[in-house]
Amino acid sequence: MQVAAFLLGEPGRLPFVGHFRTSVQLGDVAISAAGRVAGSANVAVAFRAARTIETALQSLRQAHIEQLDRHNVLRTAWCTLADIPACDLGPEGGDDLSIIFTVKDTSGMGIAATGIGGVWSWTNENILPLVEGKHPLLGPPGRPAEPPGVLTLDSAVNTVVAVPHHRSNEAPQMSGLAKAVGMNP
Amino acid sequence: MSAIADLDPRKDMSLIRERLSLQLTRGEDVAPLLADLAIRNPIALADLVVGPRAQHDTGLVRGALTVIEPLEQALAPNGLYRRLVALSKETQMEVLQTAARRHPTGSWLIELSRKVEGQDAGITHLSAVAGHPSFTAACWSHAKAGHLPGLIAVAHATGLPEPAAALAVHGHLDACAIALVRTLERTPESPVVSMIAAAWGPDPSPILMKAIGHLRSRKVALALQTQTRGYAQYTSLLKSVIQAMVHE
Repeated sequence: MQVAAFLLGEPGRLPFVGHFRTSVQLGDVAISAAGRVAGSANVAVAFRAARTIETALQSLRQAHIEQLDRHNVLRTAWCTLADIPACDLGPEGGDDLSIIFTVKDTSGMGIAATGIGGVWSWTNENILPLVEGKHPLLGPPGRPAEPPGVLTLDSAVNTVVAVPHHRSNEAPQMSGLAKAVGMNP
Repeated sequence: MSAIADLDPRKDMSLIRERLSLQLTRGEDVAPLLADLAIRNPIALADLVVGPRAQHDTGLVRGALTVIEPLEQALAPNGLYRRLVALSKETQMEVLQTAARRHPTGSWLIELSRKVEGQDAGITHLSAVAGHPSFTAACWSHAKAGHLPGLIAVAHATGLPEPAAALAVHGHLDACAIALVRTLERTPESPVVSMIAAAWGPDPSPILMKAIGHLRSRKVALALQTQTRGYAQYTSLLKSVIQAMVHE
């Protein structure tokens, strides 16, 4: 049961400053995260902050989660993010964090996010918007005080692509999308 | 006083050309003659030095480099330097060095580099612009043109992270892995892994895996290990490699 989340890179020669991406499988629950932190810091600082988030989310493997389902895994993931010291998340201390989670279990799939301006499903054939307008999934960056709401999908999608909040009016283009999200062979 | 002080560039170009030719034949320095002409008639100078009837002569090209500023006022740099390169094989490198120094952002330098340096294209240009704001763009352009040995050599010579990142972005992953290791050999603390991740994507594991085969010293392997903290599986593998390494 695989899910994958991607965040669109920035324009320019260094599109993925502060970008991170990770996936964890916990029993029947698959969770995937993609995002960006410390994106305006220098590459080394942003890189460290991004790896800090990946490492923290990978620690979900060791987390004690009672009743392993997508809701509890997602809640634990948000708590894990909240526990990271601000000083480890770059000059903004995580206030510039954009992250999208996709989480799937045997009973369904959900998406949750912060700092995201748009979300699309992505297949070999097309990309289709999953939310539009002023949806609560979309909002400004930063670690939320409380775990944000979850968008539950009627039918599961394997791959989701998001754009960061500051690029809300942009939609990903099918052509060259893999490269634009930093997905390499 | 130059050898053409008594001549008028508007009327006596044939004589000027003859005297220049004579000086070149004798192996004399033609710089004073060209400097005199540069002051009096830059267009005539350009015609004499790089025009269709210009002599293919090393001394002439060296002389031309001494009056490069007035020549650039008379001709577009792209065509000027290309012509100077064509006039003498022996001085091609000097011409390229001058071009790179004076026009670090010139996109035409990519093609000129290939013509002059062949297999090692990019070394002269990139060495000239290392530390200049155009260095990143130049690395990208040379990587796009496939100048892999040149970029690897510059990575090794400068320890700057951009050559490796440029190679990754343009799909030259094996060359990128070599450049990554060479960068760390020169400057162990160069942020080359973070630069590659910023340019290529957040998971540079395929490149990092390729880099292992090019590690030649424990010191560099340790530098790579420091930079890849956060990629747990990779650092674990690298740790085993480091333990097995003999050379410091």
